[in-house]
Amino acid sequence: MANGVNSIDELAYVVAIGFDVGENSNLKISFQINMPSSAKEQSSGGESSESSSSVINTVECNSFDVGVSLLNSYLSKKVNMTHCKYLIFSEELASKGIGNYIYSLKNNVEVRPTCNILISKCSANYFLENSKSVIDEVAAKYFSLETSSEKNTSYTEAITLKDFFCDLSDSFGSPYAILGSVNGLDSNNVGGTNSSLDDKEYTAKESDTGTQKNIENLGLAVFKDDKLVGELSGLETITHLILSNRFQNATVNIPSPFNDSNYISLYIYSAKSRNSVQILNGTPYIKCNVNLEMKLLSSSQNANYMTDENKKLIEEYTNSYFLAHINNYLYKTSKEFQADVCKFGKYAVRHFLTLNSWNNYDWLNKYQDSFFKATVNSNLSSSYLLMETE
Amino acid sequence: MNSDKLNTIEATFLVIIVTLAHIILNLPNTILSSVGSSAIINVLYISFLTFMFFLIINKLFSPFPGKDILDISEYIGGKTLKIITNILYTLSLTFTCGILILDFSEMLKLIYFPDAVVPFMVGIFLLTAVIVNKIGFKNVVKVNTLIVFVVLITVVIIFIASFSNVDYQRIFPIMGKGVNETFISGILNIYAFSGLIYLYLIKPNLKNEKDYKKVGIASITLSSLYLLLSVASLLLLFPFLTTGTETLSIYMSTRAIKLGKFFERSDALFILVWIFAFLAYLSVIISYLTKINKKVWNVKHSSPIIYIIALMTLIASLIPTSSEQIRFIEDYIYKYLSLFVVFVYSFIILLIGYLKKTNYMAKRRNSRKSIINIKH
Repeated sequence: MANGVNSIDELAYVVAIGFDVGENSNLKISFQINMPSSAKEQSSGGESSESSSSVINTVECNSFDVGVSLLNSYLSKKVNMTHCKYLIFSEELASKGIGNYIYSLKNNVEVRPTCNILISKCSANYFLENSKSVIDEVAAKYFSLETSSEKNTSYTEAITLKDFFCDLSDSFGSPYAILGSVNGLDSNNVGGTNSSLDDKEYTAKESDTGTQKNIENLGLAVFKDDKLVGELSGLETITHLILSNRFQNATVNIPSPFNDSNYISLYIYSAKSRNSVQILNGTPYIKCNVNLEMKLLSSSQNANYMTDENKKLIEEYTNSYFLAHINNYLYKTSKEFQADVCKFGKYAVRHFLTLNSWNNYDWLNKYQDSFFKATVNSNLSSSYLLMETE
Repeated sequence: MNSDKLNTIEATFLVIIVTLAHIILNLPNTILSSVGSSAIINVLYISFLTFMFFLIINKLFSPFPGKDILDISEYIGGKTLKIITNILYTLSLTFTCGILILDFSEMLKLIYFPDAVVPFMVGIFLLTAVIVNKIGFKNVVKVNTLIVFVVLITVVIIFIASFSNVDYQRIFPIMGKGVNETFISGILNIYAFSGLIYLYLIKPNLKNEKDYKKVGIASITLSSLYLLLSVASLLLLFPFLTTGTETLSIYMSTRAIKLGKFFERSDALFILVWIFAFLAYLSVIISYLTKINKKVWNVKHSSPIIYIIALMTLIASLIPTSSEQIRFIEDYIYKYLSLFVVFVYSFIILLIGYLKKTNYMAKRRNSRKSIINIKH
């Protein structure tokens, strides 16, 4: 080996790093290291491809950089984090504060700012141990696919190290991260514990039941400064994305206006929120005007959802359903979490001329005193069914 | 010699390379931490002032066709002032160049070569610049023109690629750290245009002297535009820069760029382009210092001067012993040194020269008139 130059065989590629509270030290760090195909064949005797594509090494230490050094001394290879996709913090550690670790990670040239930040409801080590995909063998690929699922569901948002660090040092809002857990899966019930009809209940839950364990990213973990203060469920995350104008699409169940015991499914394909903030007597007054574009997915034998009257009824139900959830989200984040994850601060800052006056106002602490006015206008544009359209 | 003459684009890009080298390192970050969220207004303001400043310089240069600042120094203060001006230019340029190349080498070490010896890296840069200069001035200029063009494209790519992640509300509070910081003390950020130093030297090298005004306007406009793009992309992308956090700011924005799924780690490409940019910067500085020293000391061959200037740059790069010292030199010493040399000393020389020349011309006109009157 030439001085300072490592060949690919001398490097151990980390694909995910887990952070837990240590038993004897401050920190327990788990490194999920990808095994090269040759090494994998040796370990499995060249048999099937069902063997694990990665190994997990855990070290107890007082800081991240010391942890890396300890692992380097233990492994025969040099740890390389340029392909790391996930940084997982346990809920317990996140509640104590993760600011110092985020700053250390941001300063590490090898750790990419595009790494995803996830808060695990179980220990980070347990999360990594169960992060084997049912359909993908390569761990790094699996992790990148796992975060891309948010584009199809809107049940979570892919938060990167850069996003989290920026939010942490921002005066416009508070940081948040992906919420994840290990969930029991049965092949005949992939919904795991999220089997409620009302999707407001959907959240990352822990369960030991089921024949197969799988990681589940659902919802968001909310921080005040660098400490975890609460979590948002799947539907609250959809609301959050709508109000933040980062919503892509989602399928939502709302109570049927025609039958109390039924639900109808709506595919929301566009949502925009016009937000504004006024400062009234020193208190923030936040207005959100939400516009939803949607299509109907549900159909039943005797229902004709596309008459003008029924369409209007569905729109009214949707408006009141979302209005209730938006109000719930706004008051939950302001009164319960006291964390402006929606970053309304960026609308409030226009009322201030200098950074000094803005900093003196202390938006992040004033947000808890906010009062809100939300309106929702939905537009059911098509049945999205083969049989009938508008 | 006609082979050393520059066309408008070559001359414009010679001026721009200085601003670009500073933009790549820490210039936008320094502006952001000094004025906060009003950085965009500040850049527009100092660009306007620089533009006005150049129009005055252009006017002051008008009675001196084909002359540079050294010739004007000689005109007003004889050989002594010419030597003083030359020494001031040589020392300030070698010092700032040495510090800048050291800072860039430290950045490369941090990112890619953790075990490398920094003076060795600086030495390799200087060796390359010496070889390029030995080949000839015109080659330095042509290579610089090509590289500046590529670097300008990378700055535009960074701005466009970070477009989807920006928060436009980060321009608020509109007055940033205050009206005073933006418009009064913020005026000192005009040092960002220290590349103007070439406009005091470049006049005798232009193919067509009438293009001098064009070169000045084009170089200030392009420098302003790229400074604005860099400052805007950082301001709208990273909230922590306005609080004075020291970072490799432009490099950080390249790390946040994702060009589809295939090009995820494009920062290596930017670093490669920047290495060429710094080589061009170093070559241009050495070639101009060689040119003026050759002229002042009446030396026949360029080689000894090239070696001496390269050695002086290496020595300058060995002065700081820590990154804090580098940052201090860049943020304060370089700032005030550039302001003094470009905006105070050279301007005063030019102003005195102009007044002397116009007085002399007026006296000559008066004496001619009086002779004519006497004859009549």
